[in-house]
Amino acid sequence: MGTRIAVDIGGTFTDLVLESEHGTEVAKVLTTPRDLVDGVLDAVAAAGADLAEVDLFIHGTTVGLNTFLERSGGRVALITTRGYRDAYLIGRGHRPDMYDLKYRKPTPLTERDSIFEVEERISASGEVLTPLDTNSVEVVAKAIAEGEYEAVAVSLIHSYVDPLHELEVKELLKDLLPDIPIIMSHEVAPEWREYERTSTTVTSVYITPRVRSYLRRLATALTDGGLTAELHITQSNGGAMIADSAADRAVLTLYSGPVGGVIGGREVGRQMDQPDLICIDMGGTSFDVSIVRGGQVGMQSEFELQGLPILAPAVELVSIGAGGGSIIHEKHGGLRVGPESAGSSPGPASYGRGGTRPTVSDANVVLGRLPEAQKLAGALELDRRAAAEALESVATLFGLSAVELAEQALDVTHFVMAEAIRELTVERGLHPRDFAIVAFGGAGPLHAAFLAEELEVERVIIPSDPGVFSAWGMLQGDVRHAAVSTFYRRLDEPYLDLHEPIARLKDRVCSEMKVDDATRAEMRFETIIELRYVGQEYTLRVPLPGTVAADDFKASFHSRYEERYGHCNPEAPIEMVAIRLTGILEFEGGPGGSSSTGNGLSLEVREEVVFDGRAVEVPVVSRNNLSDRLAGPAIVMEPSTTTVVPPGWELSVGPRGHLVMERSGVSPS
Amino acid sequence: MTGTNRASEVSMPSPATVEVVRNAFISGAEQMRRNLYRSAHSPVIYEMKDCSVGIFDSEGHLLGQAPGLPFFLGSLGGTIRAVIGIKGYEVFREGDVWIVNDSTIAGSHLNDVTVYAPIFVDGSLRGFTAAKAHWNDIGAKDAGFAGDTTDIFQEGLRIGPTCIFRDGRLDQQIVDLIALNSRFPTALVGDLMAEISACRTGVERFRSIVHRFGWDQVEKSIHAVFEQAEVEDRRSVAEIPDGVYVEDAYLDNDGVTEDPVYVKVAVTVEGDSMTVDLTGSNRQNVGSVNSGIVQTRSGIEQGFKFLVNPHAPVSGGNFRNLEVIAPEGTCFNPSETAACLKYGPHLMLALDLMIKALSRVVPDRAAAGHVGDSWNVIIVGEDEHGLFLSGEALTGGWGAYEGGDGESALIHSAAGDFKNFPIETMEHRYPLIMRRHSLRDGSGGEGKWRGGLGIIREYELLAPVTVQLWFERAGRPSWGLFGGNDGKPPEVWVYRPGEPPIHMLKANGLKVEAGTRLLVKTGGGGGWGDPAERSGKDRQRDRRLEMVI
Repeated sequence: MGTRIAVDIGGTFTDLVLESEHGTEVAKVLTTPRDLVDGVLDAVAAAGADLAEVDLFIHGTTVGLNTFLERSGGRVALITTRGYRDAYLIGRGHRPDMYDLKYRKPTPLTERDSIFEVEERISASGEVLTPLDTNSVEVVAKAIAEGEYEAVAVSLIHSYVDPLHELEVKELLKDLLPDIPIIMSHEVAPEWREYERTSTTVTSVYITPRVRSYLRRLATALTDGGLTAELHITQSNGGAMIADSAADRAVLTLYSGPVGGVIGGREVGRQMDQPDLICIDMGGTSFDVSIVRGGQVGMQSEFELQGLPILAPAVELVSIGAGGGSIIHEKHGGLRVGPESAGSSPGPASYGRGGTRPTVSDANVVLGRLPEAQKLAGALELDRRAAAEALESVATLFGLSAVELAEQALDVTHFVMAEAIRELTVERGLHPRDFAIVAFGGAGPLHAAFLAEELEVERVIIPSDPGVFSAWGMLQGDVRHAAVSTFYRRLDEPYLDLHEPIARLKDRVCSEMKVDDATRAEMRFETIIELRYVGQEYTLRVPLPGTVAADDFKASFHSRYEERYGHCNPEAPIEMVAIRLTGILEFEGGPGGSSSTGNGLSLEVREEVVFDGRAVEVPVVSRNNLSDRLAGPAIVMEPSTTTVVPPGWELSVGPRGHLVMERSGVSPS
Repeated sequence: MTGTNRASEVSMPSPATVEVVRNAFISGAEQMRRNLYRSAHSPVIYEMKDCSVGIFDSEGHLLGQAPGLPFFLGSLGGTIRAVIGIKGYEVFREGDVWIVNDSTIAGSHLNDVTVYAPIFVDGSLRGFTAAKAHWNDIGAKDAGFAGDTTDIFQEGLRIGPTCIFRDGRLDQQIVDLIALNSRFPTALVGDLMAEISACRTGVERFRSIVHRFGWDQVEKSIHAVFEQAEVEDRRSVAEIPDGVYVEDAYLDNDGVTEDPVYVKVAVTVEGDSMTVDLTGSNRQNVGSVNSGIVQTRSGIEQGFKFLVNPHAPVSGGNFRNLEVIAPEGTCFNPSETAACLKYGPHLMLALDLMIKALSRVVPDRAAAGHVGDSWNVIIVGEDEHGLFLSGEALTGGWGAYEGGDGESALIHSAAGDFKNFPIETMEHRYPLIMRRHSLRDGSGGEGKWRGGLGIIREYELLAPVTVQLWFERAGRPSWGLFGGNDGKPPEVWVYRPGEPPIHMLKANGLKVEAGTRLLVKTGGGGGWGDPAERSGKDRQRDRRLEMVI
């Protein structure tokens, strides 16, 4: 097997994982905000990798997401159907913050004077009601040429039924505006709902110039460094795609960064023979949960970013603003934790950067669960006294000691985090106790066992090398490309042939992936049918049953509906809304796991840690020094995280260096 | 969990227990809401969010709620209290699910059907969960939301408090009876099952909380949570200068007679308490612009919420310092047989007037006048699958405020997370083509801060259909404040093929042929402050973006 590299860029560090027949190498270097490419090259150098030997280079990029969040994207012109100039600005007209008299809609990514109309109209059934008036396109092209736009989005009504007019517009514009990227809605999101499709297209176009330029610079730099293999980019759905495709479909990279951990979680589950997982990723400001069920990552077909809808497949993440920086405070006589966060500046009081308000991290410090010896972000010295003082200032309001408040605040935090997990499990008819928790991120392993107790989960896994887990995860994925087709039919209508639309989707996927016939034969295709009762809006995603008989669809739909909502209505007519097909090409299998590399920490001391109101002396062990089982209470340290083993739990080193925590008395499987 | 262990040794729950209980009820209600949205059959529930869910104690005090419609803020608790007043406690058994829709009990129109379930823990009645949702058809005289009813018997099936689920079994006879009275029985049964499912979700949640902490701890925590909310409300009202603030205005008419509907609101602030007195408002209307007392109180609570701690979650401790006076026989507290189908217009006007009244003393909490009505376009017809109904409430401009222009094209105040229908979905489902879907330039009232814009829509109907229209506030459009101008009023033009257009703001059972066009313009929001003070930069931007004419 050859050499494979994955690089993940975070706010502070750029992580690299290299797998080859000689084992696994990791590198952690500082991120270079001025030009992220430099950090990637630094990481390659730090790992001593020879790019010429590399067969697979995968990268998760946050350039698209950051461009969106910073609103630093390109100047976008939007072309739409006559009469619909304002559809993107009107949106859906709702007020989610319903008691706010001063509610503002999410800020759109382009303004009214950058939206242009052309004369044309296609009906819901695909009939041309008004042919495209080429004159109107020329007028618009002239205005766009004069407007110094960096990219053009074309989103015409009902283009998902028939893209004829979008294609005609693009053809005309290509000649009139030769130097500007032109992106059509039926390519980005061929789904109905004009506002959502337009929003997705505009978002994609908005981030395209920066994403393209970044990927080109990176590809060039890597090629100059000797890379001959194709550069792959992780998509929001967890699969990888070649960088050229990513440049054309920038919107698919929005969650390119965060999904690595989830894919890594799935692989850890596979190695540990644990197909049902709750993956938790907790850092300084947020707590993200995702689910793996039966070895499959939970997916969603649309999501919102700052209130703007995006129709694109993505790993389903529930994210709440609970992190190490969440502030513990009093409000109207009640105890509250968050949603305000001390962030990284000033940060928790114990960081000694000027923070004075107590945070979740401070609570962990005061309880001894984050030992002072732990150096966060590699450099900080934790200040236990500052944490205690900060907690004290709030504790007196409740007549509690700092230690009591710390434990109570963590109880509240664990409950709120458990609620986020229940949203993805209990509400879907699933029991958390049937899952194992995989915890990563700087703060995940600190809280995981307590969450497990809250949710009656019996087993917690702390993967090896949690500090570069996301990069490692990217190597455990596959190449995938998804396509969707709006396919609106009632199941009680005369029976329909799905073979043809599915075959067309397969052709589209393969041509967009640019694979040859030999490769196509190795590919796997997953087909999901979106079904609902006639009249409903939300759909259930049902995998294509063994046969495509309507009765099989019906049975599968009813049973899934029952599982999810506790009731179903076998009498009610069902309709099909969309077919989603994903082409998947597995990477060559790697060694998996990682050899634990030296982390410079080697200690075994005893510290006082508070559990359940009692301070006890517990061993604080370096992960390097773990060999056998370790009964809780105990603390395990490594540079990137701290694992708390509470009383009643036992820790062992599992396959490939993953740590496993189980309730005492539960025999390891 | 540590909070529990310690708490069980002493009588008072720990701060952590109180906070966990508080969160558990709020997220329990959220869970009920998600369950209802995702499994409901009718867009009026999952898109228009014409619904509400909540968890209550055994006296109907709110523990946690998740309204779809802010207008329903307090209506579920009021309904439960009304039901208990009629039936007492003894009728309830463990595992029951009940249903009610009568306007004298639930306050709004008969289409809003409340499903509620008693919660027993260890044999004692400890609380209720409830879900209220709008059903498209409950057998009124016309399909859709007829605007010309004159008594409640024309508005559909009246359901008093009725047990439909007992001893683990649904009473199919009652479901059949109700379904038989609807033009859309399949959707109705789907929506009913979704409401039942939401209620049972809430029951499970409540029981798990009590099992975890014990009833004594939960009960004490509930009281502590109520106290926190009450303190918060009282502090906020105490900041408003004492005084009596009176405002009044008219609706165009009640949909049946030509007479304007007068609404008068007197807001009295005294220390940390507020009284909203509707005395002097219209007597009960002949048309259906009437709201039962439970809905009236709920609407006024929403007005209060706009002004007092708008971002905080709501519990049974809120609104304890709010008194509502609605004399019997007025449109805010009508007789048992009053028509109530349009229960919102006068009440939305009342809550707008509350905001206007207090804008004088707490301008930072207020905004100029906004949309203020539901502006319905309802299209009923038949296709190969049978009867269809497209019911929409259109967006309009919101009022400007100190520091910001009003937002354009937003849904009215009584609705919140309401989403309009995608046009591509409408054109798939109904025989129409939307020729235009745009902002209405120049419709926002001028001011130092400009009112938001209304919208323009042009429907081309492809088949013969029946149209209902309800457009209000044409005579008294969204008001400007502090020198700002009023927003433009709504306009609706009907173009029948080969005929000159007719302007009409309300219509019932209007039969139109294929090829008819409806040109609908909704109103803009009011401006704030003297237009002469508008900055050059903002004027330039208005011109560049063509927001003004």
